[in-house]
This record gives sequence, structure tokens and C-alpha cells, in this order.
Amino acid sequence: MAFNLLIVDDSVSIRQIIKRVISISGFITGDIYEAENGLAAIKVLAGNQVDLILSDIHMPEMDGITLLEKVKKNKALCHIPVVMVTTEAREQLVNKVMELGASGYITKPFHPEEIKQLLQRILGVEDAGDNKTEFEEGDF
Amino acid sequence: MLEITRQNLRKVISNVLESMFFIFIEPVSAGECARDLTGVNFHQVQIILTGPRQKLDLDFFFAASLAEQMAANFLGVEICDINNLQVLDVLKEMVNMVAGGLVNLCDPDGSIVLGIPNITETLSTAERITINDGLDCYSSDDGYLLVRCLGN
Repeated sequence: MAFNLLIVDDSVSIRQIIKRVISISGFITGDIYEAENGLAAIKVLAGNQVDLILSDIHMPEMDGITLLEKVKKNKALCHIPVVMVTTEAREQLVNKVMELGASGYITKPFHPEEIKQLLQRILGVEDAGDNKTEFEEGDF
Repeated sequence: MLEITRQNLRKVISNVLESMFFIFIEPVSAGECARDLTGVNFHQVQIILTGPRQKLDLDFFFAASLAEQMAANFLGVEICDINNLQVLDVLKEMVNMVAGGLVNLCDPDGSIVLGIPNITETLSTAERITINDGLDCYSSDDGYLLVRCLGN
């Protein structure tokens, strides 16, 4: 089943990389929305059906933690899994976002396989597809 | 304390450049670097880490040729298909990853606040960079990376 994805990051490059990782993992995606910060993400969520959010934490205007809080407090949105993709791996921060309801946490620099495995777990799919399932160096 | 931070910074920079950008660097002395930089253009990116008692300013100077190769490798495209905005975005993301990796190593309990990377010069000639022992210099096949770490 195709799923709609929202990627939230102030870096266009990271949004591009994540889209590519998902594409070569063989996931069947519907619409892939992009937002450069939490505020822009809220606007996307207001007008579109999203099945999964991948969000950075440190962003101008509205950070990823505030976005996570808003999503989880909203009855219409709280069912959407949110995965944090960020540079910080400090235990305190990881615990905080998991307590706030994040479904997963990926630290940059990441290996594409990490994103693939996490999405498989969250979306409940055994294997993403037949296109390509194992990553090698340079597979971005 | 600053020396330990600089040592950790060297490890993190190597790790990030190798794992996400497929760039391998070697530390070189400031003197060796200074002899080789005439006319080289650099992009400068700054990030500030703020702790409860002190602040750390990190300035990264990327040789233009290195910056383009990093962007191409990161995005998986040819250098000729890269534009300047993409290069600057990739540089900011690299600095963000390095700073995040550094606080993970130096401040596991989480009192340091990570700033947002800022492009301070889109292209500056090497003559405008003060090259001394406070600057960590790295060479790669694609050009130099210079990093200044200032605590206050």
C-alpha cells in the first residue's frame, strides 16, 4: 500500500537524500511532501493526508520538537508516526522526544539501511520491495 | 579543555566527511597549508555552540573545489550539475552534522545548545584567512578544509 510522506528539514539536500533513500529502498510512496520547518509542516498537515513524518530537530521558525508536540496533541494528527532525523544523539534529547511520542530516532550521519529498517518497522512491511534491498557505499 | 575539544572535532570531521561525503582528509601543518593557498577561494560557514558557562565558535573554511566535490558526492550528481545554492546548503548540513557529533562526544548530558549554521562568506580568498596554529588544516584530493575553534 502506498503511503504519503512528509519530510521536514531546513536543508534541501537532506530532504533530497531522504527521498532518494526511500525511493531506492523500494517503498511504494504516494505523495511526498516537503517542508523547511515545523511551521511549514503544520500547513502541509492541515491540507493533506500524511501517513508518516520524518523531521529534523534544529530548524528556524519552528523546531522539530515543537512540531512533534503539536502533532501529538492534535486529535486529528496524533496517529501519524513521527521519526526524528537529527545530528544530536544525546540520551537526554532522545528520551525527551520518545516521551513526547516520537516513533523513532535517526542520527545524522546515517546509513540508508537505518532509514529503511526503521520505516519497515513503523509501516509494518516485511520487505520494502524487489528493486533494491541492500545498500552499498555511495548508494545515496 | 579547548585542546580536547579540538581533538574530538578532528575525529568527528573525518567521520562525517568519510561516511556522508566520501572525502578523505589528512591533517597538515598551518605552515605547509599557508604556502599552498595563494589565490584559493573559500566558503566560510560558522556555527556557535552555547554552554552554561562558555561559548564555542567554530569557523569552517572550505576550498571551493572541495565544496563542489562534497556537494556532488552528497547529492549523487556530477559537479557540472551542481549550483551554488546546493553547494552552500550541503556545506551548512556538513557543519551541522559535525557540530552535532561534537556535542554528542563532549557533552553527552546535554547542557550545550547547538546553533544553526550560518554562511558568513560565500567566497573569500585565502589571503583573508589568518593562518596560524589556532587553525586546524586538512588536505584532501579536492582541496583544503580549514577549521578554527575558538572558546570564550
